Amino acid sequence: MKTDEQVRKALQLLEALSAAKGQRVDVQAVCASLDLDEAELDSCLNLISNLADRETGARAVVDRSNNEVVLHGDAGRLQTLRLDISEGMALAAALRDLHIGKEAADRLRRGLLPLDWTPDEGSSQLAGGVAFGPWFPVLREALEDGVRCSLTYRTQGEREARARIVDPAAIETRADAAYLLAWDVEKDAERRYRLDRIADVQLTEDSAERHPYRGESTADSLARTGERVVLAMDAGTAAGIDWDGALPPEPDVHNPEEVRVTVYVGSRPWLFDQVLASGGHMRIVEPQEAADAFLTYARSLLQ
Amino acid sequence: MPSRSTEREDAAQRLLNLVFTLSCATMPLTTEQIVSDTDLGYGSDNRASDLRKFRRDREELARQGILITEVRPEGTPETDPGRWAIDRERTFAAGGIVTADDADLLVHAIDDYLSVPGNPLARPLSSVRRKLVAAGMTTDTLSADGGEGPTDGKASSLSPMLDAVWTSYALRLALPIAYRDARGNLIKRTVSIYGLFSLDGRTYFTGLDDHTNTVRTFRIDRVERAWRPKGSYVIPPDFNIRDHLFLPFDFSRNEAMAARFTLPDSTPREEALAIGGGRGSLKHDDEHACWTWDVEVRDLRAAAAFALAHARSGLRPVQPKALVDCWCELVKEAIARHENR
Repeated sequence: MKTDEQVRKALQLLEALSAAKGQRVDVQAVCASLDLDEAELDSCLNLISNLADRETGARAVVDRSNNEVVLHGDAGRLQTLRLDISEGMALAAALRDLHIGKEAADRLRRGLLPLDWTPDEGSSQLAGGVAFGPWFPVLREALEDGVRCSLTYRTQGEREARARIVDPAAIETRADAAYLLAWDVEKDAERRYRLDRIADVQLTEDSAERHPYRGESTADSLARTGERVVLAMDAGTAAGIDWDGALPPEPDVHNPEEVRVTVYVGSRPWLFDQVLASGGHMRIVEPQEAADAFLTYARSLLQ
Repeated sequence: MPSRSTEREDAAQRLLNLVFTLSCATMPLTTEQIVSDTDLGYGSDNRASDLRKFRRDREELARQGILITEVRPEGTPETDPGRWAIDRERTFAAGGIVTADDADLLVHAIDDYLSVPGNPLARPLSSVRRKLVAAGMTTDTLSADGGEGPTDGKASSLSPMLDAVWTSYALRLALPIAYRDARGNLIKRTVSIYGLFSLDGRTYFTGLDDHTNTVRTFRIDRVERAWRPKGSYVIPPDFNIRDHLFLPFDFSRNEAMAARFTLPDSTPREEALAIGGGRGSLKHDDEHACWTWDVEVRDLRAAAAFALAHARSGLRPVQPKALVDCWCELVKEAIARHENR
């Protein structure tokens, strides 16, 4: 390691030891956390063990045994440092993307960021890829405090958002979006709500209740509750499908140039849009009623 | 002749000694006390050299976030030698400013934020989370194994390439890499990284590519090797990573052309932004009571398909006419496929 890297890692190790319960950490965990191999860890421990002050007689005492590193006494304890520029940039991006309220964000910046550095508020160099929406902090508060909420939300296909009473359970993320897993009190059922489609959240006076969440994957949920539709398409188009509710393609016994893909869908409009976007490469074959509904939907777009 | 490794270790020891000694000192230390102290790592025969070393050490520790400043207690004559202490306010996190609710919110928000696959901020935000917990600002505690809670292990499972790219970007030092493109060509190039983003679970970085002398975007999982970053650079002030978030209609050699789409008035702004990925320009048209999204496209058919994939949201192309015609054509092709079964 270069000098600055050795110093940085030794300081991080002292921070971790100072804050840990009993001032002891597991060797493997701290190596993983600080991205050190065992030789580098021993190098840091060697540097720390040599710390001594002749005037006060203080000395840092650290040792490694039984897969643990332990900091003894108070002399070696290190108060947590402010964030460095790299961490500050990441924090600034996260505060912006998560819509953390101005007052809380200001306190976090004043308490944590380097005092001489101001993150560029218009910083346009980092993008996290998923929108958490402006109601994320309120939802987080509702989750922490176990509060029932009134959620104004527009389901796909609905023209207007409408209010519903929900008990929040968790924030879930996927590559394309962040969702609130919650219980719709009126429907008495589990639902997922895209955070960027939530128009309003109000905390109620009531506490959220415990509910029997299934804890199943999206694919399993769709297979259980979704509508079964069979599509015909060429193998190349089938290879590009990564939908949660899609099963592996099967040969089409009637047409060797095509395969059949069975899909479980929660929204017909969503499926119809994917078929439209394929520009004729996909065809709904079962049920016939779904194919007929698709034609009605597609024709309506041209009107 | 001491090895470079020994010199590096000696330098690291001296820097840590300085921090430790100043932390333990009951009052600021004079310059003389520091530069004449052999235990600290100074005290050579050459005082001028030790003074330069002390100055460079302060600069290095400042880069690490530890600020050593000269203090002059009130009433001290100007002729008195300088005294040095750690500036605690600027060095250490101020727990008294951040409330426990703030810290709890941030810790859990970071956990949610980092659960998005491919997030380029995983390493630095994991470090932020660890510091929040270590500073005792949050009700979360570090476990006995030093684990960080829900993000435990996430930092360690990161691609070393992401670490290399992030470090290069944070230090503003150009990164030499061996990159295999989509056609399978392996080319060595040096990239001055301007920004990072994640898209559909993958992490990308954008920057000035010395091989093409243009701003290009690269996928981190296609970097086969990275060397030590070197050569400082400045990010152009007008650079915006969102201009480089690609959508399906970007993959063509055609010239970019201006396109306009509309969305219904009832669409929440966040949802409208999410559909376009922050690309282009989203405005509310009060006269026509709708959102308009202006963006450059290179592939008209792909742009039409993109609009159809979001048809249920009310996304419709309105300009140019060729795009609208393409959109209608795709719908007719799909109808024909179903009518001619």
